[in-house]
Amino acid sequence: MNLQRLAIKNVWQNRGRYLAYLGSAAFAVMIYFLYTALQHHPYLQEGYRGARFGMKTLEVSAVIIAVFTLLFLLYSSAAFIRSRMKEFGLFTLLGLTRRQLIRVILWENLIIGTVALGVGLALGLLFLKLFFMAISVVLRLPEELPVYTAWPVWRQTILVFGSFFLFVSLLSLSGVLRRNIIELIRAERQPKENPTFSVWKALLGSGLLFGGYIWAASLTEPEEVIVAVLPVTAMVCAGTYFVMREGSIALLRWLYRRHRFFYRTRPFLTISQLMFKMQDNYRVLTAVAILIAVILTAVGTIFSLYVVVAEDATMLYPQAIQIVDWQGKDLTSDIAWVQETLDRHEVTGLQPVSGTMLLGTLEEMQGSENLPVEVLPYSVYSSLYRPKGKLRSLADEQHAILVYRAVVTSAQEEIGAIQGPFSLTVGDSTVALQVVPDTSGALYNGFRTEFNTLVVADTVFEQLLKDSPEAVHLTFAAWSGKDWNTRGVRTALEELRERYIGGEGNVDLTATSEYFYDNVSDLGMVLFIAVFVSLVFFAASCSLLYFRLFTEIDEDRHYYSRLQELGLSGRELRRLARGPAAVIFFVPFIVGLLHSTFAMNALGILTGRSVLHLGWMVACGYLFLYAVYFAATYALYWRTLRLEPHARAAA
Amino acid sequence: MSVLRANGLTKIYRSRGKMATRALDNFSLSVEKGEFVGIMGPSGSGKTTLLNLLATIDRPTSGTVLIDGVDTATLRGERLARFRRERLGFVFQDFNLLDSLTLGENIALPLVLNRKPLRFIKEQLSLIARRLGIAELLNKYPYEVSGGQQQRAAAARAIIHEPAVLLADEPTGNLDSKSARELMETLTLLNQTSGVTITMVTHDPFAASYCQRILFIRDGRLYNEIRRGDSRQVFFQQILDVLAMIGGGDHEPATARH
Repeated sequence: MNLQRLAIKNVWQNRGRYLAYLGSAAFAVMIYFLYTALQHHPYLQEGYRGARFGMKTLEVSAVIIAVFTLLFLLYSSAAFIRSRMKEFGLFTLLGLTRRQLIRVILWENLIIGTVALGVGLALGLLFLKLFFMAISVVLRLPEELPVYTAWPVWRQTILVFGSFFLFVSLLSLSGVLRRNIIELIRAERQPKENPTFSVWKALLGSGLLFGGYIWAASLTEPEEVIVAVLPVTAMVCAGTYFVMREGSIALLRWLYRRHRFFYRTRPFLTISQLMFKMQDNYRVLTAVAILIAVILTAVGTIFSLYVVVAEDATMLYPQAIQIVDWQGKDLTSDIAWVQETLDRHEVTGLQPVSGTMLLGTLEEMQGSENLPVEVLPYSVYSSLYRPKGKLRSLADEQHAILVYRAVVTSAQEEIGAIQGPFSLTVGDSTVALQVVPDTSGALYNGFRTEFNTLVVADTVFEQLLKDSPEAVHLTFAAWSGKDWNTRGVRTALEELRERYIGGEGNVDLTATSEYFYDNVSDLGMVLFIAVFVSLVFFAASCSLLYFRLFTEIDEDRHYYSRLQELGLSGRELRRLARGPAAVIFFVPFIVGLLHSTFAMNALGILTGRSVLHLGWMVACGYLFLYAVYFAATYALYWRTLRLEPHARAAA
Repeated sequence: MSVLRANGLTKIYRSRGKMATRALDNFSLSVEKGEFVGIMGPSGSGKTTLLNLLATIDRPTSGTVLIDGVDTATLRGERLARFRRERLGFVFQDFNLLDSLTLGENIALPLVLNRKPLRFIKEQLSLIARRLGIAELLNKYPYEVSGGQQQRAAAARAIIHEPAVLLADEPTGNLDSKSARELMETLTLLNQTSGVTITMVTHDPFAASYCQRILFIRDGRLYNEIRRGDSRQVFFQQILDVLAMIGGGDHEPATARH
């Protein structure tokens, strides 16, 4: 057997350990490849709406993936080498020369790197079409992006990741060469110290953690949030590191001392096992907890912004289609034409509402408040659709409703009755009024001016209309209803837009869907890219846990086969082994979720409304993936343990 | 009354396409309650196979094993595991203590597995630790104590749940001569004062000289059987004689010799 064969055999022997490593590396290669392909795509080079923003995100994401993958490769290869020190020591003992050992290790790394790169590129090629389809939908491109795989895409991916693998293998080589034989052989056998609890570290850690939490929870102003982001993140990260170690020692010790609880089969074995492995576990757990927190917070944030912007779009532009004539010209022919166009595109479910509005000024009688408003009669107010609108009623003709254009959400206090009385001036006539606020969203789409709306009784309106000069009259028509996003509306809009684009000058066309897509599609792109980046992070953090489980599989096999000899059945063992594995997997997730909950709470302050439920929705998605990964990992772990019913470790 | 009885045990190992190996050939044995029986024989004679069959972790090709009158062939899976942890105690060459548990917890493990109440566990533990002189070691971890101390803890673990029989597989194999002597004295003590039934596989004539009766196996069959008189020295010499007859100095070298 030559060295090359030996290397191949080694990799195959250790395939259980290498699987997650290979998988995560290949996944990172795939994502990088897809992003690079998108970045180099000639269609996108020429630009599309919001291209600059999207391309920037893409570029940054690719760099993040590359850097993160490098760190991940460094960490995991160090872990591998450590777990295989003894093997290398044995080779040296058997007379393998230094030069031969170097060649074996390099061959091994070459095999792994090539496989990871090959599998990643193959997967990338496989999913390229799907990826481009998805991105075309997200960007609402008029046609689907054709598949593009030019040489530069391949070259960049292979160069970047090839050099990573090379670098990592050289580094791991130097780690092995620095030790002599006896150190290599002993590396595995160092007994584990029973971890000691440090009060100071515990206090410091919980101080940092809770300090960060309290700071995050006590924020009330957006400006404060921005100032707090960095220090709070640093505090929570450091706090997690200390608390993860000291906290788990303290908790395990506490359970350990509860003899009534402890002296039962599962706690007895699970807790002692966790205590025994604490020293090795807590660093990985901390790293994974922080990664999970970052993933949940980042994706949660972008998702929340997406939802908030989408929600705001329909609140600010509630009318599916709206035309306004600035000069108060008669719109009858325009209305007929729009209606005809809508009918042609088979648009149903939108109610036409039309009328006149007046420009006026609302003045507080005692104060200096002076507010320009657009005045509408109550009948129009009550017939216009608003997604979250709550209709107010008018007590009598002396009352008016002030509809705020700005989006006011539950996070902010409802504005109660406004102190009055007020006077409304339209043209030359003035009316005294009591004003009731309505903060449930704009009444109609914004056009050139973004004034608030004052709704008065129909009789009052008729009087004002009669008495005022034409200069303060605006005519408008709206097609109102919740079905603003149908295909018919969108195609009809394209036709309408052609006529109103600057054509007549005075008629202003606005539509919910146009505003919505202008604002949301960029964020959609960012969300889409972020989810992919987060999946790379996610796969890597899951893999860290996978290594943790597999690094010590030989010890674990020994442990469980001893228990088997003492008379534990396969089923009991399987249940027993699941305990520590589940703790290692789910503790970091819970901690990460806790961190991200505080972060999402702070984000709620920034956006002016609670986004916690959105963050938890994202977390649920990841929890599902996480659970699937755990189930698969555990099944594989259990199979690799290979506890045969009638085999004895000692025999 | 015999607590351990094997009738006509035969074990044939078949390796793929090759000749079958008859590791054990129609072997019978009976161990009375309170007996201390040794099993000796050269490498490949079938001792380990025999012990595995008695320990119920392997099944015979034919023949039966009865422990406490229960035919172990009738038990499977969960019930077999339960039977093993309630009715059998084991001592192994490499101690097989769990590194994550203290000696005390290791000793208590069978009782915990058998869901005994806490108070009972603690009473039994302190009782047995005092008897074996390891009371002050209970809070130490296996890697903190010597091999001899580990093996004594393993012996305590093997009998704490009062099994029908203690099966020992080369218990002195990894011990120095002083520790080996102490362990054999401990086993003898348990055998004589507490009436623990012991069946021990060994190729160490010194360890075997502590038994009351020794069965010699060769090629899977009973070769000879000798009983101890009053003197252990004489018995030791008898053992050496039989071993010399069986196959000269052909028996496996143990890691520690005397």
